[in-house]
Amino acid sequence: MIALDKEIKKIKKALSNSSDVVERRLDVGEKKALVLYLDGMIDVKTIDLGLIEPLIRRGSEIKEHVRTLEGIVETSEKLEFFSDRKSALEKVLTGGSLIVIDGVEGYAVCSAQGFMSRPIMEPPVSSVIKGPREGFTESFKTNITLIRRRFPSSNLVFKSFTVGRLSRTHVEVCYLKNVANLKVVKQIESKLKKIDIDGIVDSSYVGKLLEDRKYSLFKQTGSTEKPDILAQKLLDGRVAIIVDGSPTVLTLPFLLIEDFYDSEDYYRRPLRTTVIRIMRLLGVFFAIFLPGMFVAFQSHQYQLLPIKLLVTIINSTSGIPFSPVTEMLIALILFEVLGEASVRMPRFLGMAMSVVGGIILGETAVNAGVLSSLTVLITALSSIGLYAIPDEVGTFSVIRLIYVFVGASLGTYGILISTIVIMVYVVSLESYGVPYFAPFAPLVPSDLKDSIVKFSMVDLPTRTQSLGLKNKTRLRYGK
Amino acid sequence: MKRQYKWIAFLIGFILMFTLGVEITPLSERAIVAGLAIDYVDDAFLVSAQILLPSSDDSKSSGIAVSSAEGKTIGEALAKISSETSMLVAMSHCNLILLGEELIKDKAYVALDYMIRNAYLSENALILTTEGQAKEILSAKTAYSDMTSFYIQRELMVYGNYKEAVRRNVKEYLSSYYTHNSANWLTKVKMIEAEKPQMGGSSESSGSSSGESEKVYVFDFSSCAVIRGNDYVFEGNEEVISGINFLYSKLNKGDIIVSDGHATYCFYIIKSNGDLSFEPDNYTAKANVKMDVILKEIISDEPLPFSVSDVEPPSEVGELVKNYVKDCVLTAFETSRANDVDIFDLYGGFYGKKGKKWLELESGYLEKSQMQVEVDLKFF
Amino acid sequence: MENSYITKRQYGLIIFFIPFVFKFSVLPSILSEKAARDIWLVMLLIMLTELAQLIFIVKVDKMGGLDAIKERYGKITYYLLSAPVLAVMILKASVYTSETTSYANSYLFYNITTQGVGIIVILASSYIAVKGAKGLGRIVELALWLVPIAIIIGALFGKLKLTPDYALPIGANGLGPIAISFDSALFWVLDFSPLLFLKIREDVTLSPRKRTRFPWVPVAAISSAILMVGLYLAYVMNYGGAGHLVDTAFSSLGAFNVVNTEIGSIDWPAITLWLSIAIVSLSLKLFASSKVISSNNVPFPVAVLLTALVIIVISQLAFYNLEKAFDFATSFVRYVVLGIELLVPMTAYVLLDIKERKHQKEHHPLEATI
Repeated sequence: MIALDKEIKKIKKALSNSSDVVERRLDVGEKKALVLYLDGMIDVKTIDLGLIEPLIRRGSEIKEHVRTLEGIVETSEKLEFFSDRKSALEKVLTGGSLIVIDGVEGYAVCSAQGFMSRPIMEPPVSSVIKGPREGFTESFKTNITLIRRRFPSSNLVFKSFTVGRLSRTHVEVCYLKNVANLKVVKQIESKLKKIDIDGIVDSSYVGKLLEDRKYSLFKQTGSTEKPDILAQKLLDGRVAIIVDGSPTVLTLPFLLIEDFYDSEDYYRRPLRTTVIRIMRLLGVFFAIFLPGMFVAFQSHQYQLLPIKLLVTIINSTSGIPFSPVTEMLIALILFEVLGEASVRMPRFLGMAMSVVGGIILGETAVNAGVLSSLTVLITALSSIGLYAIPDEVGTFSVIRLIYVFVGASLGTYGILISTIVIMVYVVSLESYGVPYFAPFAPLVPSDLKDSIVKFSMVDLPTRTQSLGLKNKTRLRYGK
Repeated sequence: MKRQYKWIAFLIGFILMFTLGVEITPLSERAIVAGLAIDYVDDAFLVSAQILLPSSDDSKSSGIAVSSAEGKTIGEALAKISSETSMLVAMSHCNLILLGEELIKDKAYVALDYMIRNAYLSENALILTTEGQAKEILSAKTAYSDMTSFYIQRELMVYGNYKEAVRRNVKEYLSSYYTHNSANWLTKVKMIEAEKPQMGGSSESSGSSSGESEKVYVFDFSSCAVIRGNDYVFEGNEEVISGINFLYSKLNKGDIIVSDGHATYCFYIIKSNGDLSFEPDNYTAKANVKMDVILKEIISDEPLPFSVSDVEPPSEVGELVKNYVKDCVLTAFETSRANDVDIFDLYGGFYGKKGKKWLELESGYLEKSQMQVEVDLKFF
Repeated sequence: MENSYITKRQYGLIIFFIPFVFKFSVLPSILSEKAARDIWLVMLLIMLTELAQLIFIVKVDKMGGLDAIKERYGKITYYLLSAPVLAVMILKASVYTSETTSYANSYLFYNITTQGVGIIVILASSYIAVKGAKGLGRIVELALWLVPIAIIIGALFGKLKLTPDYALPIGANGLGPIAISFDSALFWVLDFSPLLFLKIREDVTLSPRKRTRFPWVPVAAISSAILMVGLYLAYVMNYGGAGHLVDTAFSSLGAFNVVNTEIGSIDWPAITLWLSIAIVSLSLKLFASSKVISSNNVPFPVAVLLTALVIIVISQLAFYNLEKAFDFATSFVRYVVLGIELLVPMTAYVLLDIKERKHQKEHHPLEATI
């Protein structure tokens, strides 16, 4: 049986006498009761009308155990009962309202959360012309709702985990049970249970803890901020990991080719999508190889250049005081710094400073003879090309830097050797048993229909074969 | 521990990649050779290289210079050019090789040995011989371009499809050198002084109007040097060149002009190619030339019963065209044979047909050989 | 580290690609010195010999490769067979590294002798070897994509001038020069020994219906043989009697014969393809050599490192130029190498077959008698 006064002291101590703790003492029938919550975390109206008012009105009906509140509380929000204070307080810390009644056994928590969160908006890096514009938010409940709306099916499964000793972050594993590879699900769940960290701030923390190769340049988890994309991935047999406090939902297993896709690819005509994907690939190809190849051509393999271009390069680079590699590195570093500064700059100054940095700096550097115009052009092209695949900007910008160094040292030969080594590394990677570079290596012919080329949806009757799913059939149609 | 080893291995590989690198020679320190002229003067090779120089502005054009040096070998001469210009000679873009008149008398192949061993020199580089010194041709100011080597290449790339000029590259030269007779032929380029072309617009813009007027030249490709092995044999005229081209080249330009006494007819060649078949037992080679032509122009004092829609001329005129082609081919064959040059590689053809038994018949084959020419003419 | 499994398709692709590299760089010019325009007949002989070796190797691999010898006959028999193969692979890898260095130097670095080029290639090959059969198989599948790119660029820009008369008459000089040429090329024949250390597994990415249907291995072997002979024929038709002057056939035929003023030197696709497959070929030899060394309880990456070091030392010190490598390859060593390459697969096949028949008799007496 709970002695209310003592209990209040113990509760306050457990909550470190935090100033955002709100106590509301009530008389319920002949007993004294306490409703305790964290300021700003609850839906006050629901608590007032659905909890406090019925308690006061029907307090005499409360018996020895707090479970009798089930018939008294008039709200559809979850009402949970705990025998220990610790479990109950954990719920209070996530937005629940604790009910403790003097002389009654047990603790009750009503989860009427009402904290402010960002409304559903279009994610800034996934804008579309055609297609849904909803994006995930930081609230996992909202995110779950967005997914559930797309699959009103009992096959959609959510499993909860709490990760982080201090942050107690809510993590949901979501999958379609008749589609996903259950071995992968088990592996993910097992890894989540083993995570022993003080706090999870963002889904990327969880992503890194779920990866096999922690220092790899290549990410091994997929991510998306759009429910429609996630729905496609779930239908394709992947497993989603939703982390409370992060609008980015992770997906596993991950294939590198996924980042080459865009949400609109599935809403456009297939031929148009194919053309755009080829453009994307070319953009990335130029972004990664152009700076290094330019340095290599100047330093070693000038014979690969047509004579007119060679003349232009000779004219452009004569008088520059730096070697080709130094010049390129200066240009790349300038662009990287400019990019970083643009992101962090106050919005009011951003436009003006971008113009100053991009145009004036570049032009002045060329006029001053510090950089050649071709170098500036190539760096600009490369930097823009990187954003053809925004999710891999980090990876590709490091690779292009490697190529610049290697191109200076060993020319195109070195770039070729480096490419082979990187490709060997990439093809050997696996994400939860799935080859990272499928469907190219190993070659999976049926998956090639939705790789760089895009066949019509009608001609894609099976799911991604590379994932090794049992339920492979996506589309059945009469003949 | 395993990860540490991986990182150490990665670091070592990275360091090796950079320390084992090749020393960089910047582009500005490379002399890009656009054309090469080789002469043989006083028991030494005189090599002249037309080099691209950077211009001071960001323009698309470049300065040019012709630098010459002598050496016992071509490599030595090029090394001297490198040292004189203080730039490393780079042959990767050299697509024109001019061999001087003295050189091809008996050293044509010797000059090519350097080219063969140099991986950077494309085997598709055009190879020509010159009247007089090759250096003069390379250094000449052309009427329509700044750079002689580009000008000659451009001309031959276009003009080479005409019957009046041959176009040979290093690979073709070598292939012919290694036939039984080692018969070869090269375009002979001659310099012809020309009038500087008048520019349009005001008088200030019409070039350097005051002061000394510089001589400008155009080039003539209407003769060829026929070589056997390492020895220069004779100079072939336009007829010889046409005969060679009718059989060996795929022509798609050029005119054939014939006259029947009443009028002169000009036919434009749309397409022409030839092939050879061989009858080793009779020492006979049959040349079959297939040609498509268009009647382009008729010059006559009297009006002729021809309308514009008449495509085919009278059969006699057609025969004139066929005879012209036959004469050219036979002239090439006969002139070469008279100089013991198997210009059409009849030996290879007879050997290919007869096999080992040909070796019993090969003695004096060239004198015994005869050529029959068939022309398949179509009018469009 | 049990990473010896590849799929049938990957196995077939390795068989397809391996002959194109070191049989089509400097070898055509060497063969041309003796056989002149009949080098394509020499290549026909070479490919027939290789197909014969391949039959035994594939049969051995189906029974578990040389690892099965270790399991069924013990380590001594295994070492008796694998040690000679190890020596052969190291020697071949050293000579091929010298060839690759020469190729890269002459085409990519204006004839500067850069020994570092060879070391870098071995480093890259070592990395692939460490990744094992999985990495090897997948990178070969990736290299397959380079082939259509090279073909398309060749079709668009290539101007190969073939004169069929250059190839006639066939066998004009008789069998003598052909036999002499074949004899001089023995070192380059029979490159498939590393396959003895690979095992074939089913491709789970394909549906069961498709898995066993396509005969990858025979198709790859026969098409490789036909293409090689075809390439040699094209070489003869292109160069005629001047074939012995061409130092690197692959690049010369792949050099898409365009005057450089127009679009630059675009033999780059040919060089990329050649170097990529050359590295794969060297990695395969490194992998196989390391498998032998690692069977002595040496960690596999350490075995790769040791093998790489030996190859680097031999190629840098003994074969520092191409001529030294060729003098070695055309010396009496070629007979020893040929003997080992022929006898080891045959012996392994016979030994495994004996065990297989015994096993059949003991466990499936009825099937054994059929």
